[in-house]
Amino acid sequence: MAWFLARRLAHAAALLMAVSAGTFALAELAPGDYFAELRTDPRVDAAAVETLRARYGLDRPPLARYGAWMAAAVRGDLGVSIAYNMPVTELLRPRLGRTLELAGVSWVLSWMAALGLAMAAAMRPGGWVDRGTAWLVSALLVVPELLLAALLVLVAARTGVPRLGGFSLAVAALAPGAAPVLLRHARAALREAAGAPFVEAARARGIGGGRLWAVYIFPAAANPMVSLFGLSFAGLLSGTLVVEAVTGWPGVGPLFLEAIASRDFYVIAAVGLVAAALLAAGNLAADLMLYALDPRIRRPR
Amino acid sequence: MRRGSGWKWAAGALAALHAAVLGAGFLAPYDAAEQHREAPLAPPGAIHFHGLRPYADDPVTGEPRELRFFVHRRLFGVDAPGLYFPLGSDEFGRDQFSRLLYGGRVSLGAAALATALSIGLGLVAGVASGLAGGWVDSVLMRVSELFLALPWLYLLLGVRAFLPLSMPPQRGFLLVIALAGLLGWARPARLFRGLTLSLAQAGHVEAARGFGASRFYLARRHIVPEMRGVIGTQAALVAPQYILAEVTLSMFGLGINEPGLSWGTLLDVVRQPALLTLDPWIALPALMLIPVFLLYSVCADALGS
Repeated sequence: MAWFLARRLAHAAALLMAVSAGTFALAELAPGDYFAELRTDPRVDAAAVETLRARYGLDRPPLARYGAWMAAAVRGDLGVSIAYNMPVTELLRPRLGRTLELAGVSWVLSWMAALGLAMAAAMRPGGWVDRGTAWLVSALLVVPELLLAALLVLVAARTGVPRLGGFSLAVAALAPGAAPVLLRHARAALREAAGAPFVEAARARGIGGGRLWAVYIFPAAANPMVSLFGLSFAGLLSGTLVVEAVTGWPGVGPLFLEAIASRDFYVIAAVGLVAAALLAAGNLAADLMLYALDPRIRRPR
Repeated sequence: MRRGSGWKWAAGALAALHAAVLGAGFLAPYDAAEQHREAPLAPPGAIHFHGLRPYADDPVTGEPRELRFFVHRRLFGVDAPGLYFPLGSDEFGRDQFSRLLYGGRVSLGAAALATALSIGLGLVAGVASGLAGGWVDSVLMRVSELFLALPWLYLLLGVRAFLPLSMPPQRGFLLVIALAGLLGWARPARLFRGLTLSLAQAGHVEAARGFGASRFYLARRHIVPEMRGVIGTQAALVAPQYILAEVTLSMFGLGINEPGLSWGTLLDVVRQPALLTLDPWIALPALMLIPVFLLYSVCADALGS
């Protein structure tokens, strides 16, 4: 277990290093920085711009900057936002909290809905719930979060319930976007498990209801669903970016867009790193759960 | 719709849609940039019949104008002083329906080219990785992991962040293709690699190798032709994703900008709640995405089964 965990952790850490190195390399290739516009202003002295760049360390060679940033990042310091003139960590923390709140609530809701519907569908394959679920999946799959969010904003504005608040609106736009993929996989997995011979045998021995599901069907169907854990979280993170921008929920998304528009380099790098870290954490959690649940993975190579 | 003919309808409808945006010069009643400042934010023109002749209410005067077909080298339209906007008009009195068609050229075109680019790259990388093995395989797979380390939109915007902010529409078009195409190769590549590995174990491939066939020959003659179905499915799966990528980028002012026109610039209104509340029909073109995505989804399902 410890060996497995250590290997996965090392892998995730190497990936994060590579992502941040990629960010710095791209920034180095890119034309201009935060002060590019200031330099074209005839009223501003060129020396003043250089002083400003020096203050934020933008005049140092790229490798030195990357080394310094990485060393600080390990200690939890992600640099300084030039636009806000404050540490990126301080700027990011409340916004990340709100994004995680949004993503987390939507994630739980979409998993609950997907599991509930998938169970109901798996109880009677071919029944009306099953067919209805198939339709629901197809319908939800083709409505992007972007449109759903816009539609909800429109409805909220027209009916005059904008006081309902950005949060429930954002969740209502995000959760249905994440649900169909989960529902599709959960439905397939549960259906397969529910039709397996050992379930038939258990039924014949008089085991039914909650016990049948909790002890026999769910553990057998867990593998493909757990693999979806990390993946579904990544999808949700992409979704939050758009939904936040459309519904006005002040999470990481709007900050990221703002930073792109103003070339606030350290914010961009930090958001990239955090997004990659969240994705890696989701994958790691899924790996560990699989390790705990599925003995086939535990066999040493 | 499993094995039925549903997907043929969907594929046909998709082809018709692409033909429609290409034929925008004929199908659209107006030019995309043609302004009618006397009729800004007009609602969709209602149609009624007198006898068998269709009439549309003029958005300025409210008089009925006869709707005529095959006039002025367009499919339909009303005579000169009158105006007819099937989906309403925007702030400058530009016909939304015409803009939807002309914008589709850019959005669907960019998505199609980006799809070809990323699937092509993924195919080359995946097959090369699977057949070559060794260090080529490990390097390619490590690099692909790097591209999958960020959620898709964060990757797209993160890379976009380091390119010049505003650019003319033509370059914006190329930018969208390059970004989506070059960043999206990793997932298909990993899929194609797995398929290559399993296909390479088939008896006839082993036999061909025994006869001294080169890896390139194996890929061209045996591996790639057998993956046609999967390639089609992947294309149908990623194309809507790239349409959405263009829409998202352009909506945030990072893709195609005015005076360029695409579905993204057209959907810009969803970020203006005030305008949306007063004139909700302005968002009608946005709903177009749903049938388009549905068609792609039906095609992907049918090809995948």
